[in-house]
Amino acid sequence: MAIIEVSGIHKKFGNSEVLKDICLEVEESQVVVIMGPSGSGKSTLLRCMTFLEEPDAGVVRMDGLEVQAGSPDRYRHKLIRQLRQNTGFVFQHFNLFPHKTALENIMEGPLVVKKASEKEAKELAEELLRKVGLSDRASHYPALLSGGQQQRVAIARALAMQPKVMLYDEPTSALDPELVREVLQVMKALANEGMTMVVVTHEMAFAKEVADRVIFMDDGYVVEDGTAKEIFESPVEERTRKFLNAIAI
Amino acid sequence: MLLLIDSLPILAQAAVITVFLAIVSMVMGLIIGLFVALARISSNQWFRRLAMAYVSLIRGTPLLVQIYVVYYGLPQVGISLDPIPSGILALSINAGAYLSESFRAAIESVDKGQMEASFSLGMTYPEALRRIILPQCIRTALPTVGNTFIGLLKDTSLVSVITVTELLQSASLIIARTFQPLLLYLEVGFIYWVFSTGFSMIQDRIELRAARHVRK
Ligand SMILES: Nc1ncnc2c1ncn2[C@@H]1O[C@H](COP(=O)(O)OP(=O)(O)O)[C@@H](O)[C@H]1O
Ligand SMILES: [Mg+2]
Repeated sequence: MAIIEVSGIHKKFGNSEVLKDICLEVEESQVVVIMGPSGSGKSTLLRCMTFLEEPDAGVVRMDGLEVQAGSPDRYRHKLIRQLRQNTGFVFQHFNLFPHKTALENIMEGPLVVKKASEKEAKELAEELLRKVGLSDRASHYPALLSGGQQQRVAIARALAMQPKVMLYDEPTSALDPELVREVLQVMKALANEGMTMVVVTHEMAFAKEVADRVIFMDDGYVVEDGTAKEIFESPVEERTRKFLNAIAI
Repeated sequence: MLLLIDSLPILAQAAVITVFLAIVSMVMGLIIGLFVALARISSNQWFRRLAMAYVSLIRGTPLLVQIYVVYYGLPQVGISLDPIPSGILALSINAGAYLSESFRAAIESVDKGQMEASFSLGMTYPEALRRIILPQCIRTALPTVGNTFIGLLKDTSLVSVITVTELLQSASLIIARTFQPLLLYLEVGFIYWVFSTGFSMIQDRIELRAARHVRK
């Protein structure tokens, strides 16, 4: 059974329909890369999957938890928060908490949301910092970290909630080129451990090496869905071909 | 010269009242200001409208009128407060309106991504506010909050009109005895100046401390 099941997602901003009946299933431990031109709705899709953006219609099922699009009520809010706990989200611009150290950033979720004790949260955070290779930066504030280090802390912060699924929205596109690799390496290691991941990225090498599936989106539709080999070597759609040519330059 | 020194103990006592009025009103104003700011940015339009009406009313009328309404007006509807509570109430309501505006600006200046990151961890709105958003606002709001306090310190002189024996009122009482208005009012002015300057120096130090972790 799929761990992520998204079906019938529609989203409008004003008059423009940004997502048009998106359906997506992801099996446990799969890594899915989403590509597509800017403005095609990739971020909106990811955000709708954790209700950071409210879809106009559709259903999201994450690890057995089902949330429908619809009017907000107390019960639904609670479901959404539960779904978010199971779903790590990594932002393009990291969004670390600037008034907290690297370690405190990672402890925050467990402390506040899971009501973990200070000691438990700290041990977990230290372990995760080790995992992303930043043990020596525990007491640094985000402003003193490089972009690559900030993004690794952000990944650790998401992992601290012990999610079943990780969503990444262009995790390396705000980084200087020499810092991209360290972030992708952390993500790759995570994929190898069996984490289910949906990654919006234009890193072809990462997609080829790590992704079980590549999805190409354009204008609010899923245009193509296949293995990296299929999409990159023999795309069916003209739009996909054009896009791949454009980013290959 | 002698009068200046003789009057000092009495004025010092009155100055304590002045600072007390300012601090208590400030604390209450901060609380009012926070809730009004939250109402102002809430998704409920009635909260928003109520908050806007409050801010507009308070900012659009003189503090003196507000003090009169509380002290002389409220007894007509059965709410009689002593001079000091009346003064504190009027000053707090007044400061709250101004503070709510600086809180709102500070909250809105926090990057949208901060709220989203908090939500993505599963936090509730109040949790995100308390742990993530408000601590970052404090830094932005500090200068205006500090200025509001210094303004409040001087505005306490207005409650002399409802017989609170704060600094100004106490000077007026001495003047009634000694007929030396120039000297005494200058002395009182000087005491206000000392407090204002002292607090604004404290404010500068707090702002420096708060800026420690920021590098933009
Ligand atoms: N909050 C918003 N309000 C209005 N329009 C938006 C908003 N977010 C995204 N859009 C629009 O929706 C479209 C898809 O955006 P997005 O999902 O960010 O695309 P992508 O991530 O693929 O570049 C774009 O045209 C964008 O301008
Ligand atoms: Mg995007």
